[in-house]
Amino acid sequence: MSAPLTADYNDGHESRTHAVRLLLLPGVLAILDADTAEERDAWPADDVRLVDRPGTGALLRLRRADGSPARLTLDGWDALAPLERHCPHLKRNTDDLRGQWRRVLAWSVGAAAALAVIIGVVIPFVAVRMAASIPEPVAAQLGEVSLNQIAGLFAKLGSKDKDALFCQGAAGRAALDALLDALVKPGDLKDRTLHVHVLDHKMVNAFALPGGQVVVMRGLIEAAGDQHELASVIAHEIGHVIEHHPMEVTMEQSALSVLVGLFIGDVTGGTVMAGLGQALIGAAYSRDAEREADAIAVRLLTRAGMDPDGLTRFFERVRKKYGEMPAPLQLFASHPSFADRIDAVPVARRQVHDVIDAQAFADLKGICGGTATEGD
Amino acid sequence: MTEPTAGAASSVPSAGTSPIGAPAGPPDGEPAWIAQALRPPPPEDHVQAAFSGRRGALFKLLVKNMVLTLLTLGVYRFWAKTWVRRYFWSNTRLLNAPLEYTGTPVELLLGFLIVLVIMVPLGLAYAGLEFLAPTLSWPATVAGYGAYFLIVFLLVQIGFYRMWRYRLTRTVWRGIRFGLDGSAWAYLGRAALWMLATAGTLWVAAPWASMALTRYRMEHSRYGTGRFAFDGNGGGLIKRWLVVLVLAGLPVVLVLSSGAAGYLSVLDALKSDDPEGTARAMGQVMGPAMASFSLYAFLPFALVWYRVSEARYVLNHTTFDGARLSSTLSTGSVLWLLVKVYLLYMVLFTVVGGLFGVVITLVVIGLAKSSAATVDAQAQAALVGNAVGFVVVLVFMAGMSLIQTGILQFGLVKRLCATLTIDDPAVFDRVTQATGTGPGYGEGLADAFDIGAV
Repeated sequence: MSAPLTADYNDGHESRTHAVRLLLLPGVLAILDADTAEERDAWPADDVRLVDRPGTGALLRLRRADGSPARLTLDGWDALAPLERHCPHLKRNTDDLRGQWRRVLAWSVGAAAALAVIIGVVIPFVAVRMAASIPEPVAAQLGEVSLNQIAGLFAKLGSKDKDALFCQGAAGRAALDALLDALVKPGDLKDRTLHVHVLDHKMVNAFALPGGQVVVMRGLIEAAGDQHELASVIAHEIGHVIEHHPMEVTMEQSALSVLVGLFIGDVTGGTVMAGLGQALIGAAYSRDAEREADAIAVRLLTRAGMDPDGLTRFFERVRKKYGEMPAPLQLFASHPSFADRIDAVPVARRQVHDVIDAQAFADLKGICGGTATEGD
Repeated sequence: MTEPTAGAASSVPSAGTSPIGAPAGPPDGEPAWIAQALRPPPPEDHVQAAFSGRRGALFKLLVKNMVLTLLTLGVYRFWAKTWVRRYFWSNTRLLNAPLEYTGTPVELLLGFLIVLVIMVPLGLAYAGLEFLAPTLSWPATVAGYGAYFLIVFLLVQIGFYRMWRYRLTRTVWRGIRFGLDGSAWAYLGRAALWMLATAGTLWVAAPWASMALTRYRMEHSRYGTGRFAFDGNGGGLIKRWLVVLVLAGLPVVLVLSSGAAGYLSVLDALKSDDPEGTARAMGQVMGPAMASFSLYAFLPFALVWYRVSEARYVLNHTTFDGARLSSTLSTGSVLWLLVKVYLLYMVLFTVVGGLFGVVITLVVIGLAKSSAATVDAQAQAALVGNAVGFVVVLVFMAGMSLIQTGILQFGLVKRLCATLTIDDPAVFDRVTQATGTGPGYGEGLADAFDIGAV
């Protein structure tokens, strides 16, 4: 036993502080009044804990593990070593979870289950039902916003002007419109409008946005071997538009970002609308959504007298040329349903003919003003 | 003796007065006077509150917290908040005895989980509103946003009250817990009525509103069995508040009054198709307008001056079991701190902005070089860009937290402590522990709305 330790003692009942001496007796920490040497308290050595982690404050404070409010305050941390030898659990700090872990577990499981139900059931359910009833002006505005975001993204990537990004070649545009006229008949989209843009970028991709905005990239047009291949990809995207899929995904994404924002502690909602467009480029539709788009694509193509096999051929070509498929295309490339749909079309109706002539298709390939490769 | 002053206060309770902070009257007993004189003097004998934290330890804690919070996607923030509070509480000494924060991260986590039940539907409703707003008629839009902000206002008031209750019940000093009685709903009612009164009087009633709410809080605050009381009211602050209001409102009034006449002369000049006259008339309107609005440069200083006065006023009109608190916090010291914080923010924004510029340039160059045009190369460039961008965001967040907590909050607590005194410290010796330990979970609403600094 070394020099007596002095401390301030608060018994947890009165606010008054008592000057005390501490005695480290076997198995017990005796607290004696500094003046009268009477025993004020005795703490079992096993029960003595540090209040602060070493280094937090200038004073060393002790408490009991049972949560009683009594405290000992020592001036400075010199006494730490002898106390540690005497009180084996001095630094143990498991009190945080003790007695509470059941409640924490119950609430965490509850919250996780609620989140799972909201993400997996409630949000898709509401999104699918609401997407079709979103008024046209809202959808149009959202489409504009998303298109702008995406244009901004590609403008930054290619350090190009945003407006110069969309290909405006007059002859190519006319050819594209002719192709679209053949594919889409009045009434397919009810009262909605369809805008097909060609984006000047080498990526082999096409995607649909809310408000009937469809973006086809130059890379995809150049990769297409003939008009049937190109038309089948566009028809697939139009299928998404007709079925309101981009709007569903938009709604799901924004609901999800509200949840994520809450979870990571950002309720200002700054993350909600930002990045919506980016999310839509790689939007992974559900298998059901892809099947619906395929069904519509086959219907549009056969009605126009075009070859629904174009999609299959297109993917074969892209695979041969680029090796692995770019991720966004992989999903809808591997569609077993598409072959089934085509097989379901009566042979008699598979009278395939071109809807635009070879010159128009060449114009379409050169819509971005580049020297497009003339077929292959 | 561990702490000379604290030991003295406790071992000679019969003396009735404490040696620290007591008025320097004639000593009533020779031996006590000699004993006191022989004792080594306390470091600053007029100071009854002091903040003794080292900034280095806090910086280390803040950086560690930030890294772990990011790695756990925000879940660690409950632990982070708790450790920061323990640092501030443990280093704050009143009458030489440090405070203790007994709250736990798990309690904060529970509070958060419970509040999710309210916040998820509210958040989804807001997202829906944002979605539908362009198609709604304007009364419907106003009603929708109005209802949303009303609900948020009410929840924030309740959140504040619950936050104070949680923090007070988790604050222990000399082995005795603080506490807050009263009800969050009663507080909410008062807050709502005073909000209406404030708006109805064009913000003239703001000091009365703020002091009435302060009184409700103070008079329901406890330390053990002892109670706080508050004898201030808006009248004590109204002069200073009017200065702020006049400074904020004067430019508007000036522009409106001079503008009305000027507007007519501009119209006349336009009608008479006289470009020179139009320009002259425009100048006559714009000149005074610019001059008036330049008054706004003083507004931030006036606001700081008012807020510091208000803090001092609240403390000077607070008593605990008859003993009066007082504060000499000065506008100058707080203003200097805020200027430092402002300059540090400028430095941080410049550094982070520069880093971002470098990153974007590098990514663009990288993309341009990968002319092979393979999707893989682009994906790689994007990945590198994202990774470096993430590090830059990390630097930014670390800087923000160091400035916000390590400089601003640290400085405010230090200044507040250094200027706080109480005229009769012996009242605390008569306090005993009260029953009741407070709520079992904490601050969910406050966390959701990000109110309360730490």
